[in-house]
Amino acid sequence: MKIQTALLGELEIDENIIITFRDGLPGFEKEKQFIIIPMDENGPFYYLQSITNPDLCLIIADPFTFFPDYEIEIADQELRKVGVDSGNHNVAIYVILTIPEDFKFTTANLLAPVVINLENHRAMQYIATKTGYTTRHLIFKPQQPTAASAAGEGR
Amino acid sequence: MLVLTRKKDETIVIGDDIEITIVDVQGDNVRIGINAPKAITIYRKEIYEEIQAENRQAARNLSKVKDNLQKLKKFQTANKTPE
Repeated sequence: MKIQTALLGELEIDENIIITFRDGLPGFEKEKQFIIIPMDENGPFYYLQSITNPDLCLIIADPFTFFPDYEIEIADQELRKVGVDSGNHNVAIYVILTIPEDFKFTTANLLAPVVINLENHRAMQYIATKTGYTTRHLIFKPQQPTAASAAGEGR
Repeated sequence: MLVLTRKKDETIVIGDDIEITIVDVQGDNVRIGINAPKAITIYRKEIYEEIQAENRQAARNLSKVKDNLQKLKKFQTANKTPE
């Protein structure tokens, strides 16, 4: 089927890969159908594009690329909301990025990752209240000062 | 909104499966105990609102994001930490 998108123009998509959020996303509770498009073949960035709202597109990323120690525990009853039963754990986790004017300060929302059941394409944004994560974690390490600026210190 | 007054250790029942008990009251702080089926998610409202706000912020400025995305990709590739 064809969909219109503000960011990527008109797209031809396979309906079988549409991701469904039963309750939408916080802030976009009525938006329930999305697709995920990789930005690159191998990169960690993806578009989470709404099927029904061309203007709604979020950038998501694989959290482990930037936060190798990222850990969240999702209770079984939570996982059941996307139809995951105890046998199957074919689940993908992404985090939503907030990209400011200066993209070097891009942050990831580790408090509320997007959890997708790869078997049935049902998804939810899970709020990991028991962790110490926040909605804004810088994905790039702060830049090291250059030799020129470091030379000014110690006056 | 239904407003009730309860004392410490008193309980409110909601529907068939939710109970809210006032566990303790200390000055401005009220400790609340909630018994609900595990399938029901319970959060402090400000956490949900923070997620809403962050999602909306992340979705904004689509045209600006477009320019930044190329830079973001290049920067990330250039800054990959070696294994």
